[in-house]
Amino acid sequence: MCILEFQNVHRAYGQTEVLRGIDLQVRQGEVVGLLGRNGAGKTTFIKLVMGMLAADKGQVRVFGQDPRLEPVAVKTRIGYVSEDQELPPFLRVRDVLDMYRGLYRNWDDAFAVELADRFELSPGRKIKDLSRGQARQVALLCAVSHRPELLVLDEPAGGLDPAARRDFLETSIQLLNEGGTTILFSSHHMGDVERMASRLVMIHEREKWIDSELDDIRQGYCLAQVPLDAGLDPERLLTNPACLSARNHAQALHAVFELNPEACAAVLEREFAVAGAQCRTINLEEMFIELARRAS
Amino acid sequence: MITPIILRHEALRRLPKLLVITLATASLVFNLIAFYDRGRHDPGEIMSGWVVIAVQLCVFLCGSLLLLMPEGGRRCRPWELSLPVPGRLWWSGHFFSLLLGGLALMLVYSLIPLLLFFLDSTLEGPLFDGLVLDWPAFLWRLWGVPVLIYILTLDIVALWRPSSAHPGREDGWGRFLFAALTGMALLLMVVSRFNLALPLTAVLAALAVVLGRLRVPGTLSLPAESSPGTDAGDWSKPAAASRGRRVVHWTVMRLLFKFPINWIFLLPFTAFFGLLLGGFNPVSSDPDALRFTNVAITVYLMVSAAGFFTEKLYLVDHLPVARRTLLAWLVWPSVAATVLGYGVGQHLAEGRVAGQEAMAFTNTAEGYGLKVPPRSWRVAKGPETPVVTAPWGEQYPTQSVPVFKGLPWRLYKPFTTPETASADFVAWQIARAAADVYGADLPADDIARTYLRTDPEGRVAVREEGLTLEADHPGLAQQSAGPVFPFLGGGVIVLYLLCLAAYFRLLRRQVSVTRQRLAFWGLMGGLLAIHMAGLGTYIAQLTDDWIVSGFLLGLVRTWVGTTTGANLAAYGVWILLMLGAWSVALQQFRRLEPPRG
Amino acid sequence: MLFFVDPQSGVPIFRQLMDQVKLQIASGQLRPGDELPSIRSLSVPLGVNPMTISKAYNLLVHDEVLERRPGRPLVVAAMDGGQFVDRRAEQLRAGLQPAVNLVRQLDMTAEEALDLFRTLLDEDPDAKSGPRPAGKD
Repeated sequence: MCILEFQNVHRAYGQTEVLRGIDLQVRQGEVVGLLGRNGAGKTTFIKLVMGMLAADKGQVRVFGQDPRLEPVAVKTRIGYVSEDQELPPFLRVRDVLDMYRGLYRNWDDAFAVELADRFELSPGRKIKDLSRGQARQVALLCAVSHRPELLVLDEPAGGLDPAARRDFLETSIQLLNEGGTTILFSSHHMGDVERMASRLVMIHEREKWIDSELDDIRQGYCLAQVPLDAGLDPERLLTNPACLSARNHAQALHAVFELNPEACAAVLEREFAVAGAQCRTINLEEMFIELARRAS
Repeated sequence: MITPIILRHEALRRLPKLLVITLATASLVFNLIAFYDRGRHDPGEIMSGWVVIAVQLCVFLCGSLLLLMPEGGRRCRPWELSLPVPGRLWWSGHFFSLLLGGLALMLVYSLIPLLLFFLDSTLEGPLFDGLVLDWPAFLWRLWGVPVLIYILTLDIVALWRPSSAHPGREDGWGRFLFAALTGMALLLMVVSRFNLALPLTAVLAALAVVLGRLRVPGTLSLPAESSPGTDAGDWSKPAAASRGRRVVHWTVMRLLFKFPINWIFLLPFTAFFGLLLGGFNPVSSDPDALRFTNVAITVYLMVSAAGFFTEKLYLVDHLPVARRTLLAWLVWPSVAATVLGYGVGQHLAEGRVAGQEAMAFTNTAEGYGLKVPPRSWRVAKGPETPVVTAPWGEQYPTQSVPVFKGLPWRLYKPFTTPETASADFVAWQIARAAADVYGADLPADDIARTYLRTDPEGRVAVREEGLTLEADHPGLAQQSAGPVFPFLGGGVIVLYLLCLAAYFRLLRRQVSVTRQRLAFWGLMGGLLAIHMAGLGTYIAQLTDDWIVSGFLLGLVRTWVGTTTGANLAAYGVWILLMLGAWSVALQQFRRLEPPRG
Repeated sequence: MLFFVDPQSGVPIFRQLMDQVKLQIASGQLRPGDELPSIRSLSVPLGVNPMTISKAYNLLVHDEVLERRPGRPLVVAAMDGGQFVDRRAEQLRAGLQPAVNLVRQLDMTAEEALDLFRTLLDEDPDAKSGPRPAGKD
């Protein structure tokens, strides 16, 4: 079942184009990591999903419906957490839960209380007296406790301490375990993206630049550690078109190639007469940096 | 050293917006004062009008402190305490910023009435004929005491918890003091011997400033934060199922409406103008006079909540609350206030009308003739109005005024009684007028016998007790003017919804908050301009409030009629129009994308 | 038994899990017939998408390292002696390859390297690393 569908979606802000020709389909159960530099259009994308913005051209469908035409029907099935979300500061935690209970049909009180206990939230405290991380935890709690079919997270872990981030992660995974939830999240914490995402979508220069399974993408890049005694310097390596970057490190020369590790080792041997170079897949953070730099 | 401290103060940054609001408020207030003073020509009485202005100045100045003070009276922000600035300097900067800001507001506030008064006295206008004022004394009274009271209020602000960077927090004391001082101001103005009050207040103020400054320590301290605590709390009690919807409603209302300004200030103001629409007239006896003058300003007040509402809409946009529900929650308080005000106004007007005679006969230096309510005048097209002919042939032209200077329509009085008329004619006219006003059939002979005499100059006059028709005929009651509400009160509501629709249309795309504010204040400014233009036509004598009333009520009577069928039809049409306007507003609201910074 | 994942290492998480399962089998911590923890019970403590764990398990089943039984958790597949030896060799090879590269880089002879290797193996593990970790025997 197609949970989310974008068909040739365009959106501009005034005269500035923000998204151009975005096509996307997300099926049930997928966990999609939305990547992009700051200001690339991730938040606009998410707001289009939520129906908070209208597409200038093209179609947005969530659960098969247009979120602009059926806002309540769509939003009742979505759990939304955003970095700049503001909970009503004058409400107490227990009141916030009451409010969400009144808004969403499938509210699971037992689950909500279990999460509140786990996050150590006290019901009587006002939102304005909570730290930012605690307030975000309340928002997350409310977003998941009504068992949403789609969880939309816009940089949910921004500014949270590692323990709070881990709590967040575990709660999302718990939802995945219990079946059926689709997750769309944008984040700068590559570790979290590595753990959670099965699929990556990267937005660059207003267009969808990457859209594939995480492992497939990873196969396309590798980090080569060339021993220093091979007599190479970074500039020579960069002459190869597949080499994205090269840097001197303490014990070896580190270079990122747009090849899988085996092909990379072969190239190093063939072209640069290097034997004994270690080629391994790179982690997501390095890959993001290289992609972002190469793109600009 | 103190200049940058003052310049960075939030009060001065808010000042431009507040100056604009002050101009609007001053115009509004002066609206009332101008009408209040119109019937009075004795300078002493006019002075009392200016006293009212002065009192309002005090109230306004004290209130402006609330508007100017950021974040509960913050003297400096928490991070600013890390700067090498002594506590006394923060304290002084705060004090002088508020002082300067308040004085600027006061200047603008008093500018409007002074300007109009000055224009009026130089141009010999209708408002304050032949008034000669002792300017220095007058200015001293207008400005002197209020400013000193303002400084006194500021002193309280300055003295209160001088050691703290946030004196206003955690306490209602500040607000209580404002209220107390405002009451004191009123009392002083009413009861005072100005000559004593001024030096007294001056000395008090100066003492307070010195005392305050001395008490400021070297460094200001931050207020204690509420302790985070690890009270785990008890989750075992489940809430009632119905509580959810109530919390949703109340939370959304609180998020999207500016409390307490909205509920304590704007809604009562709206209801007050509803009163005026309904016919309550605080300044003169004629219930119809002010009704049609205040349409634009009532819409202005109703629309006023929409700006903050759309600005804060992003807070609830991601929640599954229908736009229809949100629009209903925006609209119902204003509509309820207007309708309530209208109903109460109508009731009060009826009470007033019951207490005084609708018709009168004047025989004074100002004028001679039968006076009937404006709704009994008639509209005629063309420069000539019909002559009135008695059955026996006595004929006179009717008294008339142009509906609007330059336009052909005229409002004429069919019950004109010129000075040369005979007693029979006058009695006949009175009988006709009574039939029109009360629907009663009073024989002309009785009227002639009971009420008419001849005055020393030989003109027909009414006896000393006056034309006491209602007193003498207990069953007499003024006829209804027909279904005025669908046009007036209902019309205001329809206009309100259409204004909302127009405003929402401008926010169809996600605009910046600045543009949203421009759109909103543009709309409000437009409404205010329409209102001022209306007042301007009165001041320029292009038309007058009772003429407008007479004309419009006449239209209602002529085109709609006063029968039950007509009433039902009018209400029916109004309901249809309202539903249409609602759906237009809703359609535009649905397309609205909440503005973001 | 413990698994851990390092999302920063550059190695795909499913591969890390596969390698750890194989290591534990090769070292005898997991024996044929032992049940593996369910995906659900692993995903939250590890902080990993359950589909990743599922992928690792599926690939291990495909490689005939694990065995599926209908309606029951996955178990370690039966191995004969030869397979056990192969598995151990596979693990050691992965660990030795970097050392071999280093030997080449340092320009040492095979004899020097092997001598050093033997010395390290002969060193008393108790004296070096302290008490044995509690847990598996």
